[in-house]
Amino acid sequence: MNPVLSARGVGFGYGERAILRGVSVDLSPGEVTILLGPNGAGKSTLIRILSGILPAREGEVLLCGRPPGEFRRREMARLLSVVGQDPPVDFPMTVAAYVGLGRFPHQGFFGGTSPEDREQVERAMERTDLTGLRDRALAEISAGERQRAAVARAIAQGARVMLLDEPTAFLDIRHRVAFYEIVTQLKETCGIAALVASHDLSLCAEYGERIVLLSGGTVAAQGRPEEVLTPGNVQAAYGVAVACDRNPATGAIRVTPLRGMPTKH
Amino acid sequence: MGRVRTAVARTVLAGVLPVLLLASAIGRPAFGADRFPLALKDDRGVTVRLADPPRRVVSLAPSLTEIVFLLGRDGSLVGVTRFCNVPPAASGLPKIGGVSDPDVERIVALSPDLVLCTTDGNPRDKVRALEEVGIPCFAVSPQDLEAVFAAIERLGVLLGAADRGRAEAGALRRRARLARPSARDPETPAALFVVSTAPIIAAGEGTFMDELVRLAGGRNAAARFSGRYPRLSVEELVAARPDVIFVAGMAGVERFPPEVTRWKEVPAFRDGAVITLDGDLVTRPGPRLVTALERVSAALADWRASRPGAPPAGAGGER
Amino acid sequence: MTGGAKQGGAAFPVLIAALLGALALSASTGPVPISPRAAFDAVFRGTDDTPARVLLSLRLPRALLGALVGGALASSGVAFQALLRNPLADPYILGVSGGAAVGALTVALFLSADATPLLPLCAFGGAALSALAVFLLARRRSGVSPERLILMGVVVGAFLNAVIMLMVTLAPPGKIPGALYWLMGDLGLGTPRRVAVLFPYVALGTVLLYLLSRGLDLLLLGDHAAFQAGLSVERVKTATYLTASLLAGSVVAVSGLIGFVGLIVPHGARVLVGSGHRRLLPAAFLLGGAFLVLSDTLARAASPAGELPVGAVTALAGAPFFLYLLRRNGGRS
Repeated sequence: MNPVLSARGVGFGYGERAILRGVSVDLSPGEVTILLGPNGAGKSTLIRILSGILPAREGEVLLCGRPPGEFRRREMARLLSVVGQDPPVDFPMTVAAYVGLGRFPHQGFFGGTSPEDREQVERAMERTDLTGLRDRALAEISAGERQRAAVARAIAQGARVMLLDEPTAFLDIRHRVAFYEIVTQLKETCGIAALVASHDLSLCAEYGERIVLLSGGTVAAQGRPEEVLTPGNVQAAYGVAVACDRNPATGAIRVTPLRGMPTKH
Repeated sequence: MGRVRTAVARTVLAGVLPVLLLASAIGRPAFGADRFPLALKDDRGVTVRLADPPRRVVSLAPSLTEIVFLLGRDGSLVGVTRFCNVPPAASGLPKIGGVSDPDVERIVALSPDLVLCTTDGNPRDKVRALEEVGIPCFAVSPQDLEAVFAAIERLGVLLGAADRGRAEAGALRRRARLARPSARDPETPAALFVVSTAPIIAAGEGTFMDELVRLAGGRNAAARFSGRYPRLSVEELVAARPDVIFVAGMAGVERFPPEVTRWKEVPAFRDGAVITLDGDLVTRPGPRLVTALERVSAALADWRASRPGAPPAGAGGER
Repeated sequence: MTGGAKQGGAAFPVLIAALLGALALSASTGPVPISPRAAFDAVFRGTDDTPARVLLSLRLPRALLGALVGGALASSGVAFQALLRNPLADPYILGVSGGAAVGALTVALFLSADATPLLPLCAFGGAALSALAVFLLARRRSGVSPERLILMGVVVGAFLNAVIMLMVTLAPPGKIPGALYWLMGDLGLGTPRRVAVLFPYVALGTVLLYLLSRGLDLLLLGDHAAFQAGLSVERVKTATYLTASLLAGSVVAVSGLIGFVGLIVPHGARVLVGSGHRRLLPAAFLLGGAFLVLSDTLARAASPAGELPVGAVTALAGAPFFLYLLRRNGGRS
């Protein structure tokens, strides 16, 4: 299937310092791609370049065959949504209002709230199990619920591509599993292409079709979980010795760290 | 006849002499004599002792500088504030700072043997600093006209010009008396003194301007406000309906803006009875307050004379 | 779609009634007695006696000025709080007050009384220049971040405050009280002409901000999130900054520095109608107008020592009221 978002040989840096070099990634509809890599490998930078916030210094990014710079802002937002590391909102805002902001690309400044908008917002909140919290203020709900609200907003945006930057960072196992289940549902029912930057080596193997392992600004490995998640790759990227096998209960690759201080990499 | 006159003269002398001796014994200076060393209490209750007439005097307020010149003792002035501009010769004297910010070091550098100050404006800690260095400071803070006259007399004693002090104070008292309306005139005009025209800031009770108005036979239209310098809205000015308005122009002439003067309900605007005075004239507790009183009095007398049915000008009052 | 929609809707008639009530109260307060009959005659029959002239030339312009100034300050406060993502922002935070003060004090302290009509123009010019300076200083290739704006606002503000202190020190003492009253805010400068001149600026500014409502909502999410949700972030920020500064600068030019309204009224309005700017901006305008008119009425009527500065009354009377409002809302949920 044709990739809906791809990066070809993308490079980026500040001055002499290179943060990304020669990164090529394809995202296809109905597919969940997991972006793995140690801290500082460049995952967030790659997501920013893919979403158009940062311009690539080398290479190109194509969204539906065109570079992000050619799109008007709202047009692009209808195609691509991002769940990132956002600052907290210091003002009273209900969950429903927050999720509703995701409909901006469809409304613009002057458009009213159409029945379609309302329906999309309701469905987004249903999927993320937030309907009961719709009238609560963002500041009053838990961090996990806020994370779900961010995902709901991205869902309400109705985009074909979703980029998620470490969305499970502060969540417990329950919420992590719930999150990945939601993404899987979206891919299956709406055919979205999702890129999830994560640290969850085992969970991502369970839910991701493709894995991109980023290390030191380059793609160290790319492909199916069993191809990427090998002791050699993990050792090279993270400096941690691991054992990789198939989980007998699920059949997915299971990564288990071995005892011993991590080495420098 | 000659013997009667001699007898009378002898009796008079016999009566007067003991009185004079008594008077000098109490400590008040006898006519023509300046008594040094002296000890005099200032307005703070601090006793200032001087062995000789002071030869190097620093003044910390323009009103005090004016009094020193009035007493003819300006030869002893070695330092004044930058606001001391009357008489013009005062501007040429060395400056020691302002009223609320005198420069202690500069004062000390002039080696004064007396500093004249006031509690209305000079900072206490600076005066204390001078006293701690051993410089006598004499504080004079008159709150009304009579206190100004008394201050002139006391400063006359302090500066070794007691005669002059009494004479000048006496002259000023006479002028003040003449400026007051002599007949009991039932027509008491409502007068308003303002120190600012935008915003309108009036002089209320407790200010010199208030006293001038009352002495000149007027009624202060701002008396119903508490506080010494109430701020009035245009509507309050209209409601007060002053017959005469005095503008104490600080730092130059100030006029009411046209949107205020168009309120002809205010008699002062309708009749054009807005008189501008030099602001220094009415805020400095010094000899020129009497000049201000004379001007205010003249304005109010004009107002009375212009009333329908008023007696012709010149009758019923001395000018 | 927003929570509390019912509650928000009910607030508007109340706010409009509050503003109209405040205007009526202000118009009926003052030392010159004006009977209702005289007021009626003045408005509908065009009488020209003293009560009529006081009502039409003094009281009504002053009340209307209060409504315009209060509304503008509140709207500007809402916009700055969204732009800077900071609940403590107010219209003066980015240089407007310092610049306006320097402009106004230059006329009030150092020029002759004949130059007084120039004061609003100089105040506005000063506000515009300092707001522009803060914006240009804070700008980088990547755009204008709220943190940098606040930083530059503080720096420029501190510098201008020092200039003001210097000016007051060098000024002729007789002119200082007038300058101080301006610094504390004064609606007494309202004439029909000034109200007429101010109205288009306030109308333009508030309408522009209203049109940007959705953009302000999105700015609250953070620059990246707003960008990715489809907002042209830098354009919206620039437009918001310039419009809110224009609003604040134009009212400060006429009425001096009235504080507190721009900071607290936005929060009070949020309690009443929620954070959505489409509702918040009109609600804040109405609430700010009503609040300032009431404060000014109090400032005129309450003191036997003549008029109080309205800025002091807004703080003294307003703080406890809004504290109550905020606590009541916090306790409810």
